[in-house]
Amino acid sequence: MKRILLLLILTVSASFLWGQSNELLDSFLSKEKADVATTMLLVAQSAGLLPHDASPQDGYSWAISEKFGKHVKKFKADEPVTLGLFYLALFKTWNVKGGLMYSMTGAPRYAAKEAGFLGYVEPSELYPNRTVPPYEVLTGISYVSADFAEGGNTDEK
Amino acid sequence: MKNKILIILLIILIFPMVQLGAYEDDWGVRLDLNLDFPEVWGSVFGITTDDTLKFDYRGRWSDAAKIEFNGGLGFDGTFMLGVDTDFSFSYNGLHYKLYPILDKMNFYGNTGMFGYSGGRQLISDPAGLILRVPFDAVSGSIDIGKHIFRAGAGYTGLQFGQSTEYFLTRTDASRSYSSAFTLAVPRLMEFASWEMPALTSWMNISAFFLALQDLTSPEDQADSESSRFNAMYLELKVNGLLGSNFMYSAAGIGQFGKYGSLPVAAAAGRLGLSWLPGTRTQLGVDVISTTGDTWNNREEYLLGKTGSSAEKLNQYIPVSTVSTQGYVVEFEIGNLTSVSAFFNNRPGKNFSWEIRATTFIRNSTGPVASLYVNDKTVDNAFLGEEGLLTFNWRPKSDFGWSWKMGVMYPGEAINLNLMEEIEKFFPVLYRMGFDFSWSF
Repeated sequence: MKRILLLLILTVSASFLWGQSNELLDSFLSKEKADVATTMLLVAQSAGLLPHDASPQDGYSWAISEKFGKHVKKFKADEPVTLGLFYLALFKTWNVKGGLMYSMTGAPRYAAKEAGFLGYVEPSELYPNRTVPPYEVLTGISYVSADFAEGGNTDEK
Repeated sequence: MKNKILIILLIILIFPMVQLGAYEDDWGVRLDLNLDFPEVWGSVFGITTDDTLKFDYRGRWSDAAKIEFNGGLGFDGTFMLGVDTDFSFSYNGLHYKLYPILDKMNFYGNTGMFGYSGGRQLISDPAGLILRVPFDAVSGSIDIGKHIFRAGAGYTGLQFGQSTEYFLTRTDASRSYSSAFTLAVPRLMEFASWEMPALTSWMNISAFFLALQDLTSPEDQADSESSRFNAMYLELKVNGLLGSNFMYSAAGIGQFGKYGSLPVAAAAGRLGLSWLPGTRTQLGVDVISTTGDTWNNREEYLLGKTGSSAEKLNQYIPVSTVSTQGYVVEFEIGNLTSVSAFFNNRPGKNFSWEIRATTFIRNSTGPVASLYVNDKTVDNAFLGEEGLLTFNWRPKSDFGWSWKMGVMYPGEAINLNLMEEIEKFFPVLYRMGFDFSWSF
């Protein structure tokens, strides 16, 4: 069942991962927890900000250079990524506008809450400091890239 | 010996935490502000506000070991304005109460088909006609195939009387106006429920049973001129979707018990039908009907003094304020039939509006839960017809506004006790209000 789910996720995610190497994705999906570097790489590639042959280290370096980089710096490249950090990077990259506190503070916990509000995370799983499994990174990227492909929030989502 | 028991207890408490893994947590703050006006009584007008500031926290060691907390402060106030026969207004001050709230503080979790919870927790019935309150309890659940069973037992007397909404006897009313830290009326409550979320493709079914034993002391009974009320409630609810755009819900409740030495037998029912022609529009009706008593049997809505000729009581009374009907005049659901027709629409992601017309009728010419229904000589059952327009705007995920405007044509049973000079300005009653919420 898990394999079918992963296959489904990979198929859905094909639009942004088509060029990503199978070895990298295989390696990523075999992990129990998604690591910061690969997660940042996939986030950047989903928006076309890094080439398909870029490495996880490139993703980590890119994330540190972004405005949300100060939150990424708190983690080593191979550390597990948290729900809050993942959605912060994803929303900032895809220009997803959020609530008042998210706009004012740009903090990971408010990005996680925004993900809950948008329905990407079940309320019972909404812990900003929860480390996320790799399939959740891929589904999150799929949702956001599908909903916000036109650039930023729209009224008719 | 005592030390050994303490160590064993600590090990039992700490054991789930030792399964550890990482500790995950989240916290939040929610501010709800409200303003409604006018409340009218005689020559006094009130602007009321009902506000809460709550903090919540959730933590998780594993699915089997989680904690949650929800509590804060509440503020209910009324700015009083007086008017005399010359139409000159005077400000009569702010009357308010500030009280602590503690809705949740429990340890809970689930493992496989079993779930548990211990501590302060919320309890509610599926149809929303019996109760929605916090209580201190232990409860468990078990999922067997398509069946979900839950059961629990607890105590109500450790809560702050002003913040809980138990509303059965006069003792409940007196506790809600006592000092901020006065505790609620002591009762034991036990519940059991069964749910089958997909009995058929078009029907979900659930049953809910609640028993309560009143532990009010003889002194408190004497002070509030009330007796103990021991009761049982049995509820059956079905709901579902017929076709792709027709939604229904139906529920029936039987209430049995004893108030002092008087037997109580009452019933309540609810029917809701909605048509959803698209994803943004809903057209529907909602009917609630409950049994009641005449003035001969009881002197007020709450269980207090009964009539001298009363041999049994038939007014349905929920355990807490739940599914309150009406906006211009609010009615609790005992001795009431309310028939609502509504239409709502969501033109954009951030905005929705609703128009609703409701007819209120009392089922027996006796007390209902409104101070405006107090004339025992009026035997008219019609209470009023209300029109309500509501706009909701949520520009951001963490804050939103709503604005309500209601008009009510009152029946003869509604007595505002207005001065003659003012009465001509109130062929109908009006009420307007704002709600604001911000969570972060």
